[in-house]
Amino acid sequence: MSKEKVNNLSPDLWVDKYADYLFNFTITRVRDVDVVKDLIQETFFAGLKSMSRYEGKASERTWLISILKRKIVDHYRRSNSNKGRAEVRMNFYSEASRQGDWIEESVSQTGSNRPDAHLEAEELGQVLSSCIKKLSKRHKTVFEMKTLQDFETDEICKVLKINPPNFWVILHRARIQLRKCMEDHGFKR
Amino acid sequence: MKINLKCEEAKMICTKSQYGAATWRDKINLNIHFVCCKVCWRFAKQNSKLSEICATIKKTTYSQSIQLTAEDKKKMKMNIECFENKN
Repeated sequence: MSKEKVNNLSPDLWVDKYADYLFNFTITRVRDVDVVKDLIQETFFAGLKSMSRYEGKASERTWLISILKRKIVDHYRRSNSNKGRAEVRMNFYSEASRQGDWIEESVSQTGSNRPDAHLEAEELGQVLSSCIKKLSKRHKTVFEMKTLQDFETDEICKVLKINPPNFWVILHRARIQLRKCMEDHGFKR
Repeated sequence: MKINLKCEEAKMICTKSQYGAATWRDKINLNIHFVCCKVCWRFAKQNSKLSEICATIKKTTYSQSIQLTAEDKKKMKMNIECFENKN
């Protein structure tokens, strides 16, 4: 009786049942919609491949998430490899038509006539987003992983193959650059 | 216990403390440093403001309803079927 599977897999229903959940899970960790779609698709494939190894202990969803987590880490590892680093960093404006970029960022940032505090915060957020985009790839990855995606320091060090002091230096420099960039945009306080 | 922090060290501690990674000893040193160094004090204020803005970005970006379209899902389903048939 204990050998019997509590949970069963039904791949035909995966997309309907879990695609949205997996998407929301991933978009908070990888901010590129296209990459997210690929990762989810890869997760489904990996799931199909290793169906025989599914023991039925965890629910289908938990199982898929655990695969997905590994895929996300792989994604960061890949983008940190030599091949990933060799990729050309495209100018923000040439990417403007791409999905996943926000329309607000293409609007010029004048930053005067907004008395509302909420709008001001939003605007500062937009300036900061554009500043983050200008960081070098390494700084950007470290900063985003730590600050926006809440990864643990150890995890980031492992994935990016750096040691903690090095990590803090990178993060610190990224922040200094961001502060400088914000100041250039009239952020002084 | 080292009391005289250099500004560079002080700034580094500021950054660490934004992520809850500074020790209490670091923090005490930092506050002593602030008493005599207004530059770092200002830096610290800006640094925490930066964290605040990050928090708003996190909220707005992630609460934005980016969703998978029906078309995306259809494609995924088709890919899964192809994959199943191949094996």
